[in-house]
Amino acid sequence: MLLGYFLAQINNDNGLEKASDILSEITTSKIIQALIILAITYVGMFAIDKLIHWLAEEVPLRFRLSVKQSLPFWRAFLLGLAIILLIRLFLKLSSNNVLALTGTVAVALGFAFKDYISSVIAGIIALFERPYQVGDRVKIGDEYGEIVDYGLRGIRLQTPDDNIVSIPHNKIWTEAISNSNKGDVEAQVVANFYFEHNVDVDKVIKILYRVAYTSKYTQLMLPVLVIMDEKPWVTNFKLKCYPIDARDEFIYKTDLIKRAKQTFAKQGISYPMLSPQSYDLLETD
Amino acid sequence: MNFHIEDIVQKVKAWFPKAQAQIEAQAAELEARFNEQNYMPLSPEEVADYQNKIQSLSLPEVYNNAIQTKLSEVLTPWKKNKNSANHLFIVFSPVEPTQAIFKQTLEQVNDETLLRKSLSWETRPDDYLTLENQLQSQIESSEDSEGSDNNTNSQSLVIIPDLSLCFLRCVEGLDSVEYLFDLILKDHSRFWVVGCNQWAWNYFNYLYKVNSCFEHIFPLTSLNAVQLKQWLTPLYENLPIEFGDNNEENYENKANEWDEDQNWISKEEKQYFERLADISEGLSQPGAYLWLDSLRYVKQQEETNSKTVELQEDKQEKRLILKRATLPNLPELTKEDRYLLSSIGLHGEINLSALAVSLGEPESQIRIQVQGLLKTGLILQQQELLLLSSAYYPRLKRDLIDNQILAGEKD
Repeated sequence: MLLGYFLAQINNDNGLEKASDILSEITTSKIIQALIILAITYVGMFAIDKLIHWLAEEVPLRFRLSVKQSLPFWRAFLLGLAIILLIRLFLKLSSNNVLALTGTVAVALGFAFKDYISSVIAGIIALFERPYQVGDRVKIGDEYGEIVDYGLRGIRLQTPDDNIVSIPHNKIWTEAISNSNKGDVEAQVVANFYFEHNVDVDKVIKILYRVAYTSKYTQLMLPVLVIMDEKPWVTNFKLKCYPIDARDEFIYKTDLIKRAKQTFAKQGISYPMLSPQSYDLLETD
Repeated sequence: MNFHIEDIVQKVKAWFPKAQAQIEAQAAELEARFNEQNYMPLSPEEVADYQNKIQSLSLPEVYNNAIQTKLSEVLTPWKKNKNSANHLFIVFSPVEPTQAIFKQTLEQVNDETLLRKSLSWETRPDDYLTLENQLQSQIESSEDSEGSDNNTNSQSLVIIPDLSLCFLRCVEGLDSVEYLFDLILKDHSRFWVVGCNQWAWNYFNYLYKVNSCFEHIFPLTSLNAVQLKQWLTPLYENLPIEFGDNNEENYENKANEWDEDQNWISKEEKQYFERLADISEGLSQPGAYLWLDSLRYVKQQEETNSKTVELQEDKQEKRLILKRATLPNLPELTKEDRYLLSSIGLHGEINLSALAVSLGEPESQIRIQVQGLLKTGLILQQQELLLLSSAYYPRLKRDLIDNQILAGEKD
């Protein structure tokens, strides 16, 4: 259909003879070459994917994300190379032909694959704007997780429940993207604690700092912070700190809460007793 | 962003010699591996014998001199003016024998005007909840009997050989060091000499900014090639040992030619110890164990002629050689292994139950992990205490820095 549309466009302007000028002679040898290029590209994409993921896990932690983030570029390079080779194989590219071709193809593809093209263009822009990269922990819409794959059309998120969610790149036009680590291996973890208003605030803050500073997961090079917030029913303490490896985010939070609760219990600091209605209000808050 | 061509040229220029040195080192390592087939390892009994000899070596004189000099440099102003800095923190690597160095060095401080008190702990007290109280009572009561009789108003010198024994990385385990740091800053009537391992010191720096709080922090001097040789010489001075991968003739010829430096008997010896000092980071214990690791017997040439064999048997003598020193490769480590190893390094030496507390994990789980690491040789067990292996230390440190687990160490 596309080819018909494309030929019709050329026919309208310059006649069928011109169309045959653009297309070079199609021979069996060229078709075989094209198939080989496609096969090599497919295998190459697969190999690069495997190689980069393997290498990222083998290198020290501080180089992990740099290696992972190179994946989209390698893929784009391989795809671009394959497209150029195929074009050189089947088309005669003079400057006039290129103009005619790109304009026509753009219109045709724009109609046929509007969303797809939008995602591909968004993906290319995202490579330079970098709202997210492979290895980042992002929240897009209702989905949160680590970006494990950066494809032509979209990304794949691995959620904390180990589900893989595919999200098209064109979400960057409309959705807010919350990125926890933005290219770093650390991502901030926030653990919330609630106590009654008359709690010994200094004691709680001291314990929370200690809990963070004594966790084996804590990245000491990044700041540890305890902040407070007043709610009508409770006093909220937020412990903000970073794990050495963002992948440990949930186990780290568990470690913080577990050891904080143990210490609060030893120190006789109890959690507030709230009515079920208050829980609902806290949730909505 | 400014873009300077000169900077890039300089970087490239600096990179080439480094890359060349790296390639040469890799090539030499490869060659050493190929040459390995020419050598025979020492028997386990001989290795154990050498290990005992290493442990009984008196500590390098350089350590003693450096500490003595630094101590007198900071103690004299304080004796004259109590408002001057009242402390000296000596920072060691986690694999250096802190207690022994302190014992040897500070025994020689014979200042009669000072009342000497010393923390007598050789291991960390079991109950970490009472560490602060125990430390407090030790500081108040552990007076040196020699000084306490006749000097009630004299100035006192408090010695804490290993600060790592005074804390445990858990919520309640830091009260003791907080108390101690506060006391040092408040109490200028005493002079404090405190030893601390480098990993623990970096940890305290993140928590309490100790590098800014305290004036006199003295990282223990590292040994250079000559000092390392002088220290290790008693281990082999009566043995005919060759250096490097050269045959006997070459060795003798080169030894005769080599008269440029009185510290060395041959070029090979110099190269050997320079490399040893480099890979051991100038630390005595890794240096000694890497020395032992490089000690081999040279395999005798196989003779086909039976007569020659008979003759050879009579005069057969095992030839010892110190082959090119290399760092042992680390075994495969998981993230949890790295957390455990960093915790052992942080505490210097630690028993299993305290280690489990410091990692926030059940003791049974840590026991299984420890058994695995003991098998690899990365950690050692001395009675109940676990400690890092000296031979693996340089590579382990590099690995923990690369994996961002060891904070504050130089890259």
